[in-house]
Amino acid sequence: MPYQYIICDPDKCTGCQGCELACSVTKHGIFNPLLSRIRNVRIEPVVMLSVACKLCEDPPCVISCPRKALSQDVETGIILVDDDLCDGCGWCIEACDFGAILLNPDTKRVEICDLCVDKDEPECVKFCGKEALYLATPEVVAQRARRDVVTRLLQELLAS
Amino acid sequence: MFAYTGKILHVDLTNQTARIQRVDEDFLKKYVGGVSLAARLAYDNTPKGADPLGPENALCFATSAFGGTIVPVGNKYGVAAKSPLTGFLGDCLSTSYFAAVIKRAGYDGIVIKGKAEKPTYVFVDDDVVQFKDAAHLWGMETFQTEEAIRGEMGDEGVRSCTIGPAGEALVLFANITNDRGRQAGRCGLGAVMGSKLLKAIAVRGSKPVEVADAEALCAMSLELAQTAQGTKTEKYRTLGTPANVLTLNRMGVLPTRNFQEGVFEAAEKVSGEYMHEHYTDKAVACAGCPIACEQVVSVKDGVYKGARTSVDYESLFALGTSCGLDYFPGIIKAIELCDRLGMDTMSCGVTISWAMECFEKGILTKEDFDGLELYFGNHEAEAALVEKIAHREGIGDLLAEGVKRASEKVGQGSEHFAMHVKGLEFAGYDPRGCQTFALGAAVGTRGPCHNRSLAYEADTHGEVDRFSGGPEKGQIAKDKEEFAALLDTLMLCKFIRGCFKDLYEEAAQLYTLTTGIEMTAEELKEVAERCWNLKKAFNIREGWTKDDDWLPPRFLEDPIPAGTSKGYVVKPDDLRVMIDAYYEARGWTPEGLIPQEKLIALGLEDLAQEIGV
Amino acid sequence: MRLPVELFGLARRLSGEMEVIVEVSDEATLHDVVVALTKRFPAFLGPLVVPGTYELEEPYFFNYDGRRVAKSLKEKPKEGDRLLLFLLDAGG
Repeated sequence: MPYQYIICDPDKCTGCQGCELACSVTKHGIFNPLLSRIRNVRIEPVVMLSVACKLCEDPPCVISCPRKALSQDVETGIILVDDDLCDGCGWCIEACDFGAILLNPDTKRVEICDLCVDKDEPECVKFCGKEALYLATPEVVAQRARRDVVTRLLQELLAS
Repeated sequence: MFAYTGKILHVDLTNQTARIQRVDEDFLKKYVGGVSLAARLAYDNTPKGADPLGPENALCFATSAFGGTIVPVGNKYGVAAKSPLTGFLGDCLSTSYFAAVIKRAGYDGIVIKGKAEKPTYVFVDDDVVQFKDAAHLWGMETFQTEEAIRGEMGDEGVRSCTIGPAGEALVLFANITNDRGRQAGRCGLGAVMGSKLLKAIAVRGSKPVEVADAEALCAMSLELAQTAQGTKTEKYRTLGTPANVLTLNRMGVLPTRNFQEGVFEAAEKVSGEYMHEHYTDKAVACAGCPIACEQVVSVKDGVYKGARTSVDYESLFALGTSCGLDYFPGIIKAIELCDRLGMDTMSCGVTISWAMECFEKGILTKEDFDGLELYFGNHEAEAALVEKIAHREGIGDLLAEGVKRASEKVGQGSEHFAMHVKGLEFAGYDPRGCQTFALGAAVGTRGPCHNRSLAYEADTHGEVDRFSGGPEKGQIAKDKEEFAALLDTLMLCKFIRGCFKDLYEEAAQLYTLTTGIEMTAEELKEVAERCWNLKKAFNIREGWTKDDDWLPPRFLEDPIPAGTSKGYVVKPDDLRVMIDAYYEARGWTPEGLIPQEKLIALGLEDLAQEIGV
Repeated sequence: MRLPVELFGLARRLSGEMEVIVEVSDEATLHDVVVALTKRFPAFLGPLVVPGTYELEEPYFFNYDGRRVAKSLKEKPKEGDRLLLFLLDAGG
């Protein structure tokens, strides 16, 4: 069963970084991008994209952890962190190709996007005014791209 | 304390020291933030009669309650100092990430005084303040500087506000730039930084921002953000403010060829609609903004291929229609140069417009312009001139002084068409056909500013007869000013103002949820009125008299020659009546001074002593 | 009567026209003009014209020849009037 994860559409993302604030206030009750599990990358003037955990198959972070503090939930694919085992070494951060893991400087434990499983929808998706963020499986992502290109190519046929 | 930090950072460049001024909730509730707080800090820290380009002029930054939170369009900062261009208070606002990091570093404001011995940049790293050598940065463009600092620090979380070569050269309308394309644009605050040999202020903030009621605030913010996707902000999101070109042209008030005319025959080719079709790449956002109004445009071919910047209406009129340019890429290039070199597009454009009229009238010649044929519409000459001004090269040295000083030096009747009030160059609405704005422009504390005044809205929305001046406009101008002042203080971007049903009520609610400080709509109105009187008090202390509230001769003597507003002037008698009515509406004396009782009633007792009558 | 209507901004983009002639009865109100425009350009419905009521969405309003702003859609234009479907939310 393919996992759903958070995708950001670079055409729609305006680089407002509101997703970072939505995440940190949801998880920690305060506003601080350094405590957000989704981070926006903005390369001026027009390249912008938010990146969160991609729920990899054979996640490098899980494999790399020397204390086996990380595991992947089989049903949802989200990466679970055992706070008793994690000691904040940060090896998983180096292993992750996407920079999708944060080290909380106060608790010294890592935090990873869990798709807000305890809520109806991820808060970052909810707050994104441009609908650039959405939850999808890889198949749905590909579907959207295919539909988009076909629609653009065959505009005239669609209009008639 | 919620949302606020209660700390103002004072930086002394002369002695390379820093200290904290603690402020309490009563103080913060009184001034709230943004332009109001920056003006208060300027009043308190800049002595009367200070040289604007001297060490005693305090450059004061202020954030707001909403900075660093999820309140949409709340990440803005105000910055104020005595303006080297006008000699009065220069209060600016800018926006985006730089505002948020100041708050996250732990400050509600930063005051910079003194002068460094050599080019320096200040690095505020949470509680640590460092003075760093900027010799290698001196001469760099604005965004270039920001990137260089980020590279040095190895941390893209470091945000900076910078000056470009124009600020270094003390161009009197040099600006302060942050986050690539955002500027504290007007009044020459970039020159203030340059006079202090301060190349940049870099900030890194790692602290969290906590609000009083996060859940309720998030709910209200989400709703506001969703409304902001709708029709109330459609103009900003798709065409951006350049949508004004065709509408103002149709009304006959589009400044053309140095305000000689109100209709531009090539308006279609320099319109927002045209821009959207040919040059717009993407609309991007400031920190925490759901609207995304910044239109990034680029030139794909031709002599200016590769030019890329953000275009807003005011830049478009000043460097475009006012200079007679009908070639859009030429306008984009000129705006890009101003942005990179660190100059206010409005003042630069209106000053160049004046120079073009001097050229066409033979008051200044090709020799004066170092060989440039500066006729209206010559985009190549314009681009070359922008560079000269930024470096004070040749004729650039004269023009870098702004249109008031330049016309005073050149004389020969050129003062007639030097389009400024108090030394600040005019905004993009011809007051002969927008007579409420005629008033707003004449009395504005920083000069003829559309943004602080908003009076033109009464004209363009048909709230009044825009072709005549009458006493009822006094109250209207005052109300519009305070509406603007409120947004500039809270701070909220003006582009969201259509998304509120009752701005004062909802803003008071947002404020209370954020700070935990009880605030009512009435109290917010008072904050706005206090802000405006505070700015006025600064000016009075610096020698303002009612003669400073007037309009340039062209608007009073030359009727608009063609178009929908053909034949109209601002009649001096009407202007006098409007200004008198405005002073009365404000509770000021007929001389435009502020009675002591008024200042005391607004809680400005110290000002009552110093400048009250 | 036949009334010329100049189109700006979104109206122009949705219709592809800079100016159109609208055919309405001599007793028509501006509201009727909106209905006629929407009939011709269904794309107006939603972004520009409120479905159901056929009121104009907020920043849009009618202006007579650039001189005078219409106070409400109940106004009755006359033969010879030139209408502008304007937007001006200003600033910037």
